[in-house]
Amino acid sequence: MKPILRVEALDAGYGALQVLWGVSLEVGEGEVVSLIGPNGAGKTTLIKAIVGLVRSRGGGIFFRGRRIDRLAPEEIVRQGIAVVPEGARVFPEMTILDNLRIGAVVPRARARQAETLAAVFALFPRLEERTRQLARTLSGGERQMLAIGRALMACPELLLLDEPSLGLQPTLVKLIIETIHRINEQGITVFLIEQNVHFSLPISHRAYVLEQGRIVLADAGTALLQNPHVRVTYLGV
Amino acid sequence: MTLLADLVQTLINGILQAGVYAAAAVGLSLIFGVSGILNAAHGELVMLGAFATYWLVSAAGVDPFLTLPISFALLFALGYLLQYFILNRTLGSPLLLSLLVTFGISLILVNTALRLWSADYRLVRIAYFERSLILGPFIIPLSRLVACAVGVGMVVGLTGLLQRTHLGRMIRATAQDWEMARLLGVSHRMIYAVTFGLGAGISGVAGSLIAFYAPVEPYMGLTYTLFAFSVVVLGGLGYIPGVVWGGLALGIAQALTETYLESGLSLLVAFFLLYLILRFMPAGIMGKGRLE
Repeated sequence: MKPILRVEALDAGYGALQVLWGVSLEVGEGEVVSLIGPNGAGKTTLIKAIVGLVRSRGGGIFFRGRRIDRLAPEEIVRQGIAVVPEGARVFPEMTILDNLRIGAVVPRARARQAETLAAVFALFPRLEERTRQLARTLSGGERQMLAIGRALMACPELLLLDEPSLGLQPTLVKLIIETIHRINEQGITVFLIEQNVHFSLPISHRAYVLEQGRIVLADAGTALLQNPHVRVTYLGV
Repeated sequence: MTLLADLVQTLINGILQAGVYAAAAVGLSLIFGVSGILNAAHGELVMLGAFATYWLVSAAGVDPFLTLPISFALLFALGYLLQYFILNRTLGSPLLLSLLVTFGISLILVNTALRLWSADYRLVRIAYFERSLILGPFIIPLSRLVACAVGVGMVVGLTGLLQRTHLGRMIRATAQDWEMARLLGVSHRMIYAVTFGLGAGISGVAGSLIAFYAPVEPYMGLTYTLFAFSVVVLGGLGYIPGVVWGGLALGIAQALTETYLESGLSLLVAFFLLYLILRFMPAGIMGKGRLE
């Protein structure tokens, strides 16, 4: 399979603190690839490094074979990457509709804005019911849906999601994961950080386990679900 | 009856002044709300706009109305360049740094204007503006009516731009979470530059409007910096339409003072209102300002 995203021996961190140590992974075109690991393992740092908010100190990041780890964040996402960051980060003082429309910044996405908007509303009917409402009035689950919708408005080839189910009740977690599965079926490659492994691993073609800044395991999603280390550490059985 | 007529005429004067104050202040509010920069050179942008109109009318014979878009374009370009090449370097630094840098810019602009144009007071002579509307006992000078209408029009136009256009959405998104805006492909540096350009352009037009009825001179900027700060705080810091209310409060208070007390007290009135609002209504007259 042709990798759309390739991370090669990446070292990254903040100031004197190095978080990622020689991290290598690949996301193939059309795949859902999950990254799991305990808090503080460096999962969010990896996503921040991919989108350019954290600079790499060694190694490299490649999108469609092109090196992106020296570009500014706005240049990286313009290549065709969209991100649902930790905590959703919707714009609180903007309406739902404006939050979605601002997702379509690149010309390619702006041209297809009406069409994508209809697709997002089909995915999240709850958003369509209250387009004029300010985002700050939304619940945690609705914010995640809005952030996912906003990311889709960019018509991305690769969607990065940083714990979209954090703090949500199990039925909502299930809904979000199912939606991600549907998004992938529509042809968007997904790289997902998710702690609810019993929901996320079944929809993942492959998954990586990151511990203390290093990749310690990599396998097919369903195979990892059977892995003794994963079962003990992440499922508690 | 003449007492009442005096009062009404005073209120009319205050309201006419309010439109110009709102326009002269809205750029300051916009720039602070989006980029977190307190622009101490704000009044100098007003001064440059006033000089643009003065020279275009008196040296080049341009129609005064035609000087408004020219003034906007010149000041937009200046503001864009100032933000892009100088103020963007202060991003992420404490507020004090941008205040110091813009204070330096104001000194440079005032002294350049002095060197180029001397400290003389200059009046734009516009024949068709020297007329007034007479409504019964009330007098409405045409130049002031036009200035007020254009001023309010610009505030309304800016609000519409922010609410309804793609550029406006990018500006609001950057103001609320610039890092997230970058992750959507918005260049925050470009947005800050466009925002400063817009703010400067509107301030320049406000200066042009002031030149329709008041003398133009290099030191006039400081007064408008102080008025603009007062108006923005009165209307609520970070709440852009608040400048209309802030402008009304300042314009009417100054008009009342001129009629009933003493005409040289306009700065004192501005500071007194500022004290009252900060003491009793720190979120502005409408209570919609951002409290920090």
